[in-house]
Amino acid sequence: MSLPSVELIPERSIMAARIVVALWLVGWTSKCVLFMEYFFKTLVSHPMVNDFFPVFFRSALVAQVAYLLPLLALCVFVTRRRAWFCLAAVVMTVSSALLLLHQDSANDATFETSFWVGAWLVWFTWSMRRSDADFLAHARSLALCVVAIQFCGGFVGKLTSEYWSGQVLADMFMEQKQGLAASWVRAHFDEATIRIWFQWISKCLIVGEGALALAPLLPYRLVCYTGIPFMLSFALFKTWMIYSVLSCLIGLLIAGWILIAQEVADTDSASLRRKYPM
Amino acid sequence: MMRVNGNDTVFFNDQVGAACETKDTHDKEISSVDAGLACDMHHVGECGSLKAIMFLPPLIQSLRALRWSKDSAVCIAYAVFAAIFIFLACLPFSAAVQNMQVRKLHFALHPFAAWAADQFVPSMYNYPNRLVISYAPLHELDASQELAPVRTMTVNHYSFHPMYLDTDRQRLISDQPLHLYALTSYRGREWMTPCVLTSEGNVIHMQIGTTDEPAQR
Repeated sequence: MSLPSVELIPERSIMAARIVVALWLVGWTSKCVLFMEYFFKTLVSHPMVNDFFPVFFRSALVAQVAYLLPLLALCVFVTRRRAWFCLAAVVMTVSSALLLLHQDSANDATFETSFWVGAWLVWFTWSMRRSDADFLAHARSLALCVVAIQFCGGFVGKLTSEYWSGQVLADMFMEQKQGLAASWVRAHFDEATIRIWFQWISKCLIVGEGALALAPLLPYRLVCYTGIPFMLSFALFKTWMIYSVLSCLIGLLIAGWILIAQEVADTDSASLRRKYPM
Repeated sequence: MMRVNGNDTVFFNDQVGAACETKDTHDKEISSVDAGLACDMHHVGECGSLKAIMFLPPLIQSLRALRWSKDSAVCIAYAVFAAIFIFLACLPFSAAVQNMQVRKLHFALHPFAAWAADQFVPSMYNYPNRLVISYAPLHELDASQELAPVRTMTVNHYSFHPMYLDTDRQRLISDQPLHLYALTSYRGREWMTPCVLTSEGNVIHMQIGTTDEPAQR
């Protein structure tokens, strides 16, 4: 009797991919109230025509389809087939690229981080049947490279006297009236005090981003222990919407962490086999 | 190892599987298990030890692994990352890279293909960006400051941000042209890109001019 064809994908690889997809979708949809109104109402009622962009990248329909298409990735939570994981990853990556190049959503960091995490997921899902140490080392290293280039871009761009002095962040904090702790801080402290704080917050931000830009050269767990709280703390002095940019990166770090657990388990079993050869 | 469809033997490890895949005979299965273990031992010795997993930087582990098995996709990925790192590392020192990155954020990097390629280079919330909004061109305002009210704001991420990702575009519609100036400064240099917004009914036309040569402070 022949059994149905089964794809053998290590459980932790499935879990890692699902976590990346889940947190990617959390980031993608975290601004859905804004994006749904923007893409489906504003772009239709008040279209912008910027001749810099080709007609395709000015179309509201392209933006709408690209924004909704990644919801197909939800299928990875009900299937274990590699083909579906690959398809989801490709759709996520292409949608991010389209919105990154679209007139009405270009330059939004959400789509830029989403693109790179999507690209990592395409590579990972393509090879996710592997469980050898090399593959897991590549997966963790490439994940850290994705995180590192994001923060490297932020780090070098902030190497200016205006950022180092805290002036830019303080101006945005005072003008935009955003940030989880913003209203409490403004109610209890005067502007001069807040600006002194931002001198140090801005320096910490630049140093933290610089450290994460070196992530591939640091032990993985150290990056997770410091990088994830660092990213979570962003919303204290910026808007919570920053999580639309960062949650996919957090997902990537967690996925790599899970893969370490898999590798440790594999190494343990390999050590046993070496000790008690067949 | 698992038996699938009666005959084929499939391994979790593609590399081991590729080296050792067999069909149905017991002897071959045993030999493939031996080969698989040999491969595993090689991996454990190279980069799979607990100490390495815990404390060795992943990049070092990965590059060591690449010595043994050339994975072309991984090599290409490292080449792309290295190119981006070098490009970004040049930003504080290279005027050409600075021009490119700022013009990208001002929608003024030509041709479009160059701008599109640069979009994938991360530039997360950097540079001090400002936007000046006026009902008259700035050079006219210099002569008579009372021509129109001017609003200047510090903007997060890129200067034209207030024009986009905002559901209130009605405020951009005006009987007369709206003059915008994107200002970005970086390490003593400042770029300004003019832009004119005009409206026809509910359609907003955005005409972006040429970025001014960076002025040395």
